[in-house]
Amino acid sequence: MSGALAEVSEVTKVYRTGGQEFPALSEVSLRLESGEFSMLAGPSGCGKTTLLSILGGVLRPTTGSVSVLGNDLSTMTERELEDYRLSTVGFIFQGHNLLACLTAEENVTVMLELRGTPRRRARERAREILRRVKLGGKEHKRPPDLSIGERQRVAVARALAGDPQLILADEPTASLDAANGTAVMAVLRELAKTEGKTVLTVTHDNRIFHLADRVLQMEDGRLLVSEEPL
Amino acid sequence: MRTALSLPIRRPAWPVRFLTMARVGWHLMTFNRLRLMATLLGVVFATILANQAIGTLLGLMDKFAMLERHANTDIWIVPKGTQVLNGGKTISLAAVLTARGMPDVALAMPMVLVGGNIKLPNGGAEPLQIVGTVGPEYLGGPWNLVAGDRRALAQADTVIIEDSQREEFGNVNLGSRREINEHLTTVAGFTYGLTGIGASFAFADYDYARELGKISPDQTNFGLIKVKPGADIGAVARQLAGRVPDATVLTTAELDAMMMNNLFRVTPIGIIFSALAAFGVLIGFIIVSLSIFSAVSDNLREFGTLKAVGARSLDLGLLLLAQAVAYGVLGSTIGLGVISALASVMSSGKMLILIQPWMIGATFALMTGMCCVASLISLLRLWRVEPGMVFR
Repeated sequence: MSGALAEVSEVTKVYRTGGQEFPALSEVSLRLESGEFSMLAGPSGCGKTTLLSILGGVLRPTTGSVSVLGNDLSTMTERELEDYRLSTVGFIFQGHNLLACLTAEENVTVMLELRGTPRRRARERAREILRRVKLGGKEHKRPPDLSIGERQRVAVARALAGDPQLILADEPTASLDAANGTAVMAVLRELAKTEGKTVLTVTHDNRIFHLADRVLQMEDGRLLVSEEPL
Repeated sequence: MRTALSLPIRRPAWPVRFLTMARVGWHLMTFNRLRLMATLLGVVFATILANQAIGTLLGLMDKFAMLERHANTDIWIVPKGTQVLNGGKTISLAAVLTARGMPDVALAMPMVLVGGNIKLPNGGAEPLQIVGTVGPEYLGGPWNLVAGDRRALAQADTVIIEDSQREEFGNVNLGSRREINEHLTTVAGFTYGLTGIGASFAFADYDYARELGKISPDQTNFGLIKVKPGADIGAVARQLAGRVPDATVLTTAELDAMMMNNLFRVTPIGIIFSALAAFGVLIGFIIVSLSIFSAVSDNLREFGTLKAVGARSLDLGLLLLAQAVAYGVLGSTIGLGVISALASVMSSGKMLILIQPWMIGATFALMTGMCCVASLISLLRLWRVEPGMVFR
């Protein structure tokens, strides 16, 4: 580990719907180190995804502050948050959220083109990343023609495309069998260990806890256990 | 802290962003073929209906003004109070002779337009509009000849009639003889598509037509004037107007404007066909709007994902814009192909659907504009997409 990448300080999040308030996070503090591979566990509705969304800059905290690479997300404008997401964060969603109309390669290429990578270079890089997640030869397949495990690996490739410092994964193994789940997690762990990426994974899957540097437990919007990184 | 965040990142230039989003938009469009066809159907439908209505209106306008538009003349002398060229009133032949005396006038010829009847072998009769012009120039004389020669009008008691009316006139052929206004007349040629509004045109030598219409030798219906090359048509017309106070002198453009004004003001034709065209565009607009909105709603999660990974609302707007342009161009192309084929099948000597070159450009512009406007509702929907939705 070589220093904190993200710091969450006393963050609360309250959803307001129809005049009612639903607290989702309550004074959560957390420090994520560079190169750390950690997991966030807890029962459904405990606030895991909300915390992930706040770290990813798609939600703003109600109170508290979130700092990533020294930048306070809570003071960023919408445009800055968009730039933050594009430049710094790689998302892996539970349902993979790939564009079904695009091939595996195009799903990754779009991400790179949004960042300004010239198309030819973006395609080369996309193929490189797809090979890395063991999808070489399947670049021109569309998500509906890929297995669920392969789709999730395309989603991983897309998350890696922009060479982000922070990778946030929302239950990436939820729809995968044990072998595919372990393979995806192995790729993410390797990223953390060899490239110093910080990976935070929301998961229910206790079969993969052993891969984590630490497992953060949440309940009712509170972080119960925040073990020190290994 | 390990490194400094490099914000803002350098996003690509607008044309590159447009191309990127256009590519995604195109794939989204073509991925669901059924929806693509439904949306295109809306544009094709609007294109066909609008062009069919405008084309028919232009065809009617052409028929209404065909005598004036095809007379190949610069200036008209018409009776006072004339709104359309329908004969009836006369002017003094001296007006034409006056024009001939003017230095900038190259040619000044009288024309008569008289009503007539052609007697059929079965005893019935069909109406005609007989146009009499002076040879050998036959200014205002027959055009679109499909058989015979206008010079044949120099022979006594001959006419050139409309080919598409041959059956109605009792299966006439070249050399057939029929009684027109009680004068035995020989058919010397055929024109095509010169039906006008109402009765079709028949062309005769000036004196013969005048005789058929019982117009006295010192009277005529119209004077047709061609000016010398380089002469100012408007100036000649004004000069001539001062010299023939008992008639009205108009340039061809002025006469055309007056006739079109009459057509749109006096008859409901313009309103009917304009409403039909607008109706077509409106129906197309509704179909395209609903289809694009439905596509956006179905792909909301994909759009949310794009936003979550850093695409801006404006990028998604570019995607919709590219789709709208593609729908507009594709739909217009198909629609114009269909309406062109329909126009050639449906057009006849009696009915004309005119698809003019400017209509092609206008259709592309109108349909693309329509698709862009139709996308606006969807754009509002997209603008409100929260990137956080992808985690729900």
